[in-house]
Amino acid sequence: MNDPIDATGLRKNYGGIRALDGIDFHVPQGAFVLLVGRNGAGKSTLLRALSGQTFAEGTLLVLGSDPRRHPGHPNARLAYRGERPTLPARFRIRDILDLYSRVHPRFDRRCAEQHLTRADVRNLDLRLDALSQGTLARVEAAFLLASDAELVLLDEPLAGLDPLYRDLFWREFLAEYVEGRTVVLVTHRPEDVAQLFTHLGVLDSGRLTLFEEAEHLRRRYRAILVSAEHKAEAAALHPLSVRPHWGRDIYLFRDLPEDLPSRLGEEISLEIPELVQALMTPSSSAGVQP
Amino acid sequence: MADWLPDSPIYLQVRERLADMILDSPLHDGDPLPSVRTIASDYRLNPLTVLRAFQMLEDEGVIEKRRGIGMFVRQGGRERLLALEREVFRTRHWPKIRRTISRLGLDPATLLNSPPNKDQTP
Repeated sequence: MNDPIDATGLRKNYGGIRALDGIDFHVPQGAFVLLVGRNGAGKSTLLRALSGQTFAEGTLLVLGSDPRRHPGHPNARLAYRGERPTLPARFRIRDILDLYSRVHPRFDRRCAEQHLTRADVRNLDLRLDALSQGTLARVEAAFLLASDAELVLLDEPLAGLDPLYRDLFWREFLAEYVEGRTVVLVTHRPEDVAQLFTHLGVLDSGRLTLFEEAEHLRRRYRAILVSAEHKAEAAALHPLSVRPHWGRDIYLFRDLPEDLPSRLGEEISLEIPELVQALMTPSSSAGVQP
Repeated sequence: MADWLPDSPIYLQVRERLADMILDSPLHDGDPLPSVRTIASDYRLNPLTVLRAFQMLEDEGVIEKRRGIGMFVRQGGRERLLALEREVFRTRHWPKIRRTISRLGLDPATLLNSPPNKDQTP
């Protein structure tokens, strides 16, 4: 069976800018990919290309078919949520429930209504363009959780949600939704999914500069609390980043020899947001380009 | 949210916490374990990670799957786990502790008789 996402040499130019500059992206069934990168790195363009909303050159198979062949015909096996609303703004919530029930073959209306209730969205007669940003995000989330997709592409789906609703979303997502599905999540909040993702992808200037399994990350990248007398030795080992920690420094390394950490200092927990930040800085990603 | 250590994979740490639940006895033989989904959702873990921890305990003969219901502590599962954990302590932890005791010139008998330290702050 094919991977849910099988993309080779994806390219897309906007004006003179290479939004996607030759991306190979292969995502296995059941993976949860955390995709990070600086603003303008190409994350949103990549998800839009995968969901068939924008055209990119290259070889592309999503759930076994080419999304470019039927533009404007969304695949019910695929769900996409972007920063901009995907549901029609001038409809009432109730109308969209009716519409989805009629046209979306995998939509579960009762499930959507339950998620809406749990998210405190009770007045279904409101039009979407009358909702606050946070309420709209909750409505979008409810429709996502009720639409039984095999592949889920999420581009900052929780922007504008307060911490309690973000937590509620992840709880529902994990307890009732994620199993058996393949997920690609673009977010600037990696801490939300620190123990959740199975693969990490880093995009930089339209290129995928890193794509690695979470388990390998923990083996390859290590954080060491280094005391003053070992700082010179640690610095000579090309750390990805260094930050002060009450008289000592935390050094982040890639591919240290096994026996070094105990000599340099105390090994501490690898903080995913910190790792992501280090991997997004140009000097460190330069080292991993093929 | 739970804290995870840097030096071992998360699924091993989940297995250890489940093992602690059985040994510290909120869970007895025949009791159901929390579901994969509950643990994944409560600690924001990937269900695959939790499943892997369950499979380990199942392979070790500590818990068993009852189809359509979930995971349960097996009859004799707690004893089995206790034997496994004792073996781990004897072969992996004890030699290190023993070296530390002799390096620091401590007396084992005095250590065993001293009252446990109430102050847990590092």
